[in-house]
Amino acid sequence: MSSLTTVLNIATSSLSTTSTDSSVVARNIARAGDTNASAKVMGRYTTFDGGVRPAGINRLADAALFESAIGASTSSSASQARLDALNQLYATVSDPELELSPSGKLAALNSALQDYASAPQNPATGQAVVTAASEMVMTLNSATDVTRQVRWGADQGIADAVDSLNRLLGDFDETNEAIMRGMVLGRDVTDLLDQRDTQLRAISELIDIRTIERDNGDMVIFAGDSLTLYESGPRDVTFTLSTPLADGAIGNDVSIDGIPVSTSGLGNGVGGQIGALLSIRDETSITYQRQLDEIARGLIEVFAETDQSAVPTLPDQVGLFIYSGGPAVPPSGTVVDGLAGQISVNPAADPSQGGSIALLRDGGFSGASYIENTAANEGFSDRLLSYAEALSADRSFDSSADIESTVSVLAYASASAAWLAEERTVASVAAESAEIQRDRTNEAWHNAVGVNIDKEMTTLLDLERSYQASSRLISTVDAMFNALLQATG
Amino acid sequence: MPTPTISSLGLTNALQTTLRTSQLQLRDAELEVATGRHADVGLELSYLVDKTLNFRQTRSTLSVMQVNNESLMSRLEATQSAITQVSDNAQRFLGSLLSAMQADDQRATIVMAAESEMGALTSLLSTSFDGAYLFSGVATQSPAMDDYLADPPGTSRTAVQTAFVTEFGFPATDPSVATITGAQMQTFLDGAFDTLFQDPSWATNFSSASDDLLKNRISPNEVIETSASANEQAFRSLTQAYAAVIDLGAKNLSGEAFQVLADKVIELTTNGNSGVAAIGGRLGLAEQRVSSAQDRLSIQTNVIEESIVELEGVDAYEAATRMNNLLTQIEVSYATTARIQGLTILNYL
Repeated sequence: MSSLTTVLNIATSSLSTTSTDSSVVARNIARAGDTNASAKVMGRYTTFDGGVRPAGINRLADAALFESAIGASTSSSASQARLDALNQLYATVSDPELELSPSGKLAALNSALQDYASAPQNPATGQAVVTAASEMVMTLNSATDVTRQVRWGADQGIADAVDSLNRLLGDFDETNEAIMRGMVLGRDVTDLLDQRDTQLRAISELIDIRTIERDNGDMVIFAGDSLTLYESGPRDVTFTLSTPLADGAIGNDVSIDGIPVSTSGLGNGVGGQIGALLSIRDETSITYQRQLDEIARGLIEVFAETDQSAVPTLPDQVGLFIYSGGPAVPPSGTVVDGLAGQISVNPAADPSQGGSIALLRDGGFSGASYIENTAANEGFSDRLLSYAEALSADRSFDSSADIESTVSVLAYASASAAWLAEERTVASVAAESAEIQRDRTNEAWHNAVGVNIDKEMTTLLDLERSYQASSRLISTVDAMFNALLQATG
Repeated sequence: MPTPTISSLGLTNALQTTLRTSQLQLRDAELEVATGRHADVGLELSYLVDKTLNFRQTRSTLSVMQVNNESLMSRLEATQSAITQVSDNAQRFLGSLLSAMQADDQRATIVMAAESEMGALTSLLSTSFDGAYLFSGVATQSPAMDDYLADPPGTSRTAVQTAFVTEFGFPATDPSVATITGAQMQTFLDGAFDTLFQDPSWATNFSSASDDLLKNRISPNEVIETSASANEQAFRSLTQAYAAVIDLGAKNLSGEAFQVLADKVIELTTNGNSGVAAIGGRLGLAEQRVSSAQDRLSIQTNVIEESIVELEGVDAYEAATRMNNLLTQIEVSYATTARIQGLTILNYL
């Protein structure tokens, strides 16, 4: 039989439940501006006597949307890292109008050479060739520096990313433990779940991940879909800086639990910032460096000298451009790693270093047998004309540099710039669309699970009414008790 | 179907991404309107950067050739004018020689004329231009001809005088030259004297020029010879003719011997003069090739300029329209954001 006491109990339970619910509303409103927060909902159940009790707090969640948001953030951070590196490399080409690229400097050298050939008696035109050659060399040297910096920067970036990955996995471990404990004890773990999601997002920017949820809220993370990154505890991710990183050499690999990621079947599927940086360090910048090296080798070859004796016996030797492996000319069609960083103008041709530019016109950098203009005639232009021709003549280049292998040095330099420009455009388009996709999926996820203040406010109105009504019930029951007591008193 | 939900943050931030993109595009459009070129040429052209770089390489080569051809034209003109003078002088000399043959008292005059023509020839063949001696072939560092009239005599005049003494036993200034017969003179002229003007004597005594002519690339595919050498037969013949009159005792020769000498000199001068005309013709042809190369180069340069603009340029009208659209779009975004911010249930509670 229900009694007034029961009514009082029910009204009291309503009051306490309503205040718990109000606290949930308050939490939601407080975190409405947090992009990582999900809206919390309080469940309630009816007690045996018809009262109401809070039934634990849950959060709105959308696992599928969260999964794609994580995937989008992986590809967005990967393509952004790639684009950043390519932008750095592209500084070596820059705007074609500025003619700062190896191609532009080569064109300037070619023009200076034409000029000298038309006035071979004029030392000023010869000096202009030396100046153009020095600029050419400086451009190749500094492009090599940029490429090396990009490689070393990528290496350092991988080290930093691995450090933060390990730290994030540590944090993740703590949160995961707390969630499991909380779930067993039946506590409210929704804020911890939000926190774990935030950590997963941060991890997903570094490396491509998949997650599986197990009993008691425990979570397992895989890198890609084969290597375990977290299971009951973080796995060790290791990386040692590859410096000194030799030109053309592949750097150290990142290992998860002792297994190198590049050879583990993940390949470029490592994804995220780490994957992008590995590919920049070991593929893109090595290829670009090779192209620069081949331009340098082409130049050395174009300006090489041949034995001018009636019966030539001596080998070809370097001329206007020299390198540390000289005076022999590097073998044709084979890349010499780091050559673009070593190439320099032969001091014997540079008047400012006590040389004579006439050596270029007459031949003889490597001794009397190589002199073509034996009479030292000042109007002799055959050799200069043939250098200019050689610059536009087809020769063979190493096919490992990703460019058509039989072209002129001039065309090769332009093709190299075009290769880089294309890589950059592709990366830029990819970065743009990955960013849009990341923003959109985040938006969709947030719309699905985020806090809507209007809804919270209307809930609050309901709660207010409910609270008022319950209070009225209590005071009514109180009045009834009073009436009863007076009647009986 | 569940009711689609939206979070408050989602509502207020909806325009943020769009706005950022629009602002980036606006920056690019501004640049494009100002420069008439793509904001980031490399990004826009991608692999086509190859083309624009190649065009620029070619343009720079072509423009150097155009400049060089200009100065080559001046050099050819200088050469041509020297040659015209050589030819005019030879013509004038021939005239005075023919008139001198009529009267004996004209011989002194003709010797003087020969001396002046020899001086003119030497100096014309030593014309220099931009630090290069024009008639020295590729040996532009030294004047082509030994100065025949130098005092004391140089190698060339000494060689002639020595040959004369060797042939006749006395110098040409000796009165005994009158005893030289026509036949003796003929033998000398066709023998020892002729040999003097052939190699190796010519290169040793008279000329330091090279047989190799100057070469110039006048267009991407044309390398042509653009000078004349003092070693060419025409100049040798003229030198020989003037030397014969100056140093073979013309004043005192017997009538018969003088006739032989005069015939030889007339032959040499005539041959020389026509040879010089042929050289002039050859250089004229070179001038023509240079000038037609110039025409082609300027057409090519224009085509390349246009191609570069086509690749790198933007339609200024389109860019301006795009900029206006973006401005409108950004303004609408601002207005909408402001109104959405004001849209809250709190105002109605």
